[in-house]
Amino acid sequence: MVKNIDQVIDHNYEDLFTIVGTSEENIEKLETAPYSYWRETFKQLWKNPLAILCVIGIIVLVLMAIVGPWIKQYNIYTNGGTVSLDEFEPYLPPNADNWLGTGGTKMGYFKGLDLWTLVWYGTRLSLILGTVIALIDTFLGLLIGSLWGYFKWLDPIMLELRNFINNIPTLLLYILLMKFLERSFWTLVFVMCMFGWMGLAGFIRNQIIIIRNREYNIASQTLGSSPKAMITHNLLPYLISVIVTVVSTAIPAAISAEVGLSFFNLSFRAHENVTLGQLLTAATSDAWQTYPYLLIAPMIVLVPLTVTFFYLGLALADATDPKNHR
Amino acid sequence: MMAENKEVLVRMEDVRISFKRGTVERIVIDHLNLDIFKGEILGLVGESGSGKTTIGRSIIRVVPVAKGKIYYNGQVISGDVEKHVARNLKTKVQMIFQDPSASLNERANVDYIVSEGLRAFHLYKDEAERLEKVNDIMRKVGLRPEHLKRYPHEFSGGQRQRIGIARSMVMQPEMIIADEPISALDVSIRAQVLNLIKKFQSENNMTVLFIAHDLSVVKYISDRIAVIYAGQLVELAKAERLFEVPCHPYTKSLLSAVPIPDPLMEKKKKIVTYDPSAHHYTSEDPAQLAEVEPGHFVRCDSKELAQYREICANFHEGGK
Amino acid sequence: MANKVLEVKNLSVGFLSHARKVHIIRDVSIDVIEGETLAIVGESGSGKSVFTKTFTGMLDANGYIEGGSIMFHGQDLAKLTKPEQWLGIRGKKIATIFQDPMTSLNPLFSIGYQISEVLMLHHGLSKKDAKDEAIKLLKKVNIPDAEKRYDDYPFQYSGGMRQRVVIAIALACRPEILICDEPTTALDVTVQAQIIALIKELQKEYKWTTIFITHDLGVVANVADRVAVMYGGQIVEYGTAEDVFYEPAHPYTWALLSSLPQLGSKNEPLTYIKGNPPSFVSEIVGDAFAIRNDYALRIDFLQEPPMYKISDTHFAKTWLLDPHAPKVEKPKIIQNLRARMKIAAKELQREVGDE
Repeated sequence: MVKNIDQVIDHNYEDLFTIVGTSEENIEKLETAPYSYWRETFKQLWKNPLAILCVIGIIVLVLMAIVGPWIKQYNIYTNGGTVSLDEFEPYLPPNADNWLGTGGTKMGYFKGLDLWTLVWYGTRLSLILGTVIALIDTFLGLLIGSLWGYFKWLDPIMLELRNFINNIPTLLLYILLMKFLERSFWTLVFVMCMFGWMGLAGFIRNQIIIIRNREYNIASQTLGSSPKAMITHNLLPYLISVIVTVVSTAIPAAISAEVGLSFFNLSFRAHENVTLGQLLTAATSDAWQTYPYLLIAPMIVLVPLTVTFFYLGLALADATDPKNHR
Repeated sequence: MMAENKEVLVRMEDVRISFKRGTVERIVIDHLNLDIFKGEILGLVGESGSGKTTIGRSIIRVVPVAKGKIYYNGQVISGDVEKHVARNLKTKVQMIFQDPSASLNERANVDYIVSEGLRAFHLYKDEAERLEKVNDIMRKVGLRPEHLKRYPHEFSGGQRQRIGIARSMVMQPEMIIADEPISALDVSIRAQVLNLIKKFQSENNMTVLFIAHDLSVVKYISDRIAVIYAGQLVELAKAERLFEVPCHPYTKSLLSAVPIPDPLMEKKKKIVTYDPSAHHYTSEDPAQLAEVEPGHFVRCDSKELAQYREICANFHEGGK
Repeated sequence: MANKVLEVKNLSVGFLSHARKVHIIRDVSIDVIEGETLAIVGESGSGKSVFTKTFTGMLDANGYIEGGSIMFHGQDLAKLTKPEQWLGIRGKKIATIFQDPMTSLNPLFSIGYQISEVLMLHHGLSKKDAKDEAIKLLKKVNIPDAEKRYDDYPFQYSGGMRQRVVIAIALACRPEILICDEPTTALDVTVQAQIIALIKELQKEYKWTTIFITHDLGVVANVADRVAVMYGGQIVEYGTAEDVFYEPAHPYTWALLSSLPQLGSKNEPLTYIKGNPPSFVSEIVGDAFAIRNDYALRIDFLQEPPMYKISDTHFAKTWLLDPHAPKVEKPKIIQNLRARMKIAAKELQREVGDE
């Protein structure tokens, strides 16, 4: 018998028990809200407190790179002799004038210069350099990797190329190149991007080999889809998780690579361009054990930078994975 | 292999298909001769591993042919062919896949999926015409225009399979290869897909190769049925005839396995298993596909042929 | 009075999906009688797998029992929360065979070892005794050359053979209840028939109770003593196999029977159930099947029907059985089901007895 009288108050038994049947309109209706990949991705990212922290951290670092030097307005470049340097006593610990201290006597060009200004100028250049290299490497890696994975006949050629590249003594090559090239931004980008794309390309190629024989790809082939359409719609969207992780770790990786080059004196000339790598190298060749703030200065940027990008990469990898969506 | 004066659309001539794993070559199909007539629905039945899916895939050139030839409308379409021939084939022959969750691109919306073939061959003059074609086919398969913006995972299995049908049908192909299109669906919604295939076939006089492992379904939809065992065609006949007088023991075992949803009958069912060693083929009297009666072919040697001929003749006269 | 081996009362199961509670199984009660084969029929998404997973404590991590009880030998299985509590029951007294034979076996161990492992664990047999018994079990499930096959690995086997191994593993425990969760859905029709015959044969010998989950009525007709039809997380009709096939009372059962391909005739379109199973995303109001039901009453959209008794063995949960409801006949296509099936059987060259 009908129990809930409230629900049926507008009807009587005769009405209730008439046959109404199905409604064509309602029958195929989808009950769920429309799915949007990117909206779900951001939702997942937002739920992750660590990710939010990382994003804030990166924003702070970038802001400081822009604004930092402007606070004290010290000159660290002479601009071809037009401006005088703001020099201080070397080895000064952090004080009111020099929030991070000043450079030591063995730090070459940085002797007596304000570390705070140096660090933020360095961050600026390192970040820009790192980002440009990461973007170029990623673009090349994606492009070449996709073609490599999709066109089977490219495989033997590319594998040989990869072997060849892996066997090149890159350090010697860099030393050789930097002897003849001027130390400018784009030459440095060129040198660091020369072989950097191969890693991602190989990785993408492997991923594509894994998914290219899946049934939906065979279906697309029978429908006549062009390689371009296959790569952009069928293959790459499945690799977003992977791509996003690689890009976010590529930036700190490029910055670290520049640090490496600095150690071998293959990076910029200090009096023209300051990078975090320069500062780190200079600090280690001076008495940082006695004056730890020499090393701490570039580290307060390098460490958080690397860590935040790394964790952001992990968080993005999870957020872009559709298995974690609704 | 001519039965009546029907035009042959696809002819498979002495086809061999094999797969190479390193140095080992596994022959899946060998010495296959099969004609598919224009406008017919040919059911192709066999177990997993019998090679039926491979046959379908070789016609649309997903799987290469090792030996022999496949003709489409008299033109060779297997092996090395010119690019435009291969491309042209795709506008004529389309495929419906078995697994509705694996055969749709999860990262593309339904609009893209259904239009994929149209885009590839520019089968429309402007955006308005494309949208019209897409909306039309969606309506025909029982889906709604608002579904175009959605993604495959938001749909049920039956709806996904209909999306798969829509994307093939929108191309208005001459031939459809339906590779076990209902095996992955619940029994209660299989009929919807079957009805759709039948409807499209009759409206456009399409040729259909319907691959399945269940004879009861194939019986409903097919004009002729071909039975495959271990890469060999063992019986081929008109659908009704196959059920009236199945000759080959494998066909009989398939028939015995079909479940009948009647509790009193089904519980008493006796399964007949097929034992290939029960034939005693020799090199002097080998097994080949022989015409037992007009339009009815069975793989047998001369001894068996005589037996089958008699059985068929008896049945015709109302015996049994 | 037959013994009840399992008594389910008012069972409700929910899932936590993205911080929302989704109610899948809603107030289900049924008894399982010792020694019988109970078939649970329903489409994908009806909740049949979830329902039986509660008997072995194998709900997904985000699933939980909201209420009700599952009485097994005086113990309420619904109250068991820790894995240790399930040790003596899962696999030992209640075993499950799953649908996908490809993933049911551990690819890293030989098939023989996987059977021995169970014997050593549950029955404390020594390695040698376990191996002997495992070989005996492989023979029992009709795997030829059992001694040689002991060391084979799953990847060497087809779906049907793997499923036999899975059955052997389940057999090793001598369970009281064997749950078969769509064990033949992924198999060819010929292999399906063999596996079902095997399960029936073993059941006769070992006298366990079988709960058989499937969406295929042909399979149900073959195995079931009693049938429970599930839709939208509820049992909407249950009774003996003959009750449900020959005197179905719920429109969903009518729809399931009507959509059988064996009833189709070549010149007419086949019947099928329009629409899709409920997705449980929104709260279900009234009868879950109403939206797809040609015979839906207005009240079906407002209020869930109670379970009506048709006979001592036969019950159905539909407003059509209410005294106020209009008299509705089963769809023509399933009237005289017996006669139609006899015709279908004849066409399949089946021997039709006189019943």
